[in-house]
Amino acid sequence: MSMYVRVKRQDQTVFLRAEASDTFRTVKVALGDILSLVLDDIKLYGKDKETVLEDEGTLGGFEIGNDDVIFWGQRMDGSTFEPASGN
Amino acid sequence: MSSSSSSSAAGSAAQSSSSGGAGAKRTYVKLISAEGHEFFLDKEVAMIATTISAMLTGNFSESKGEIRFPEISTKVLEKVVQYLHYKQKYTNSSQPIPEFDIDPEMVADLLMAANFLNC
Repeated sequence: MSMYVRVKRQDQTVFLRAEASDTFRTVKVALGDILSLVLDDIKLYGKDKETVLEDEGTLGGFEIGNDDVIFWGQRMDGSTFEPASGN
Repeated sequence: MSSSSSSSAAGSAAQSSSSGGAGAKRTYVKLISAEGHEFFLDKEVAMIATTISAMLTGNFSESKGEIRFPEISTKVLEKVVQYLHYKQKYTNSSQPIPEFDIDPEMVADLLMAANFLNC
């Protein structure tokens, strides 16, 4: 397994093992597995904390490499998600 | 097929250690810093630190996959986890090994943590 990305939210950091070819959907599923969440309740944000990483995109496609930090926010209600937090 | 819902538990028992991306089932463990920051990492990587390995395989509460380190700060613990991944990646590697950057201010604390964790 070639790399990991650090996925952050508030006081949590997940050092997620991944490949550059992984889609963000795959990342969400893995994250959900680790944190006991449904993938639908997870929204991924890029290094800038603003760019939304949609399911079909890949880590490599967004130039997210080994040890890079991305963020995630949890669904609050309906279609609203938390913004990126933590660092 | 269904796994335990606690955040410190593993996924399914089967795990491949070297193939697959984020989709491959792996076991993750949780390390908690002095300030309560939670770090989730591949159990295989965590076990590189002998102290952690001993804690996770004993009969203590740590063997549930969650360990608290009240003496290690968040910044230092994060650096240690990065180092464990670095060590796993380059041990027995024939490729050129890049330097592992350490902030000089952190060196003393990092040394103590590494000494305690035996890594």
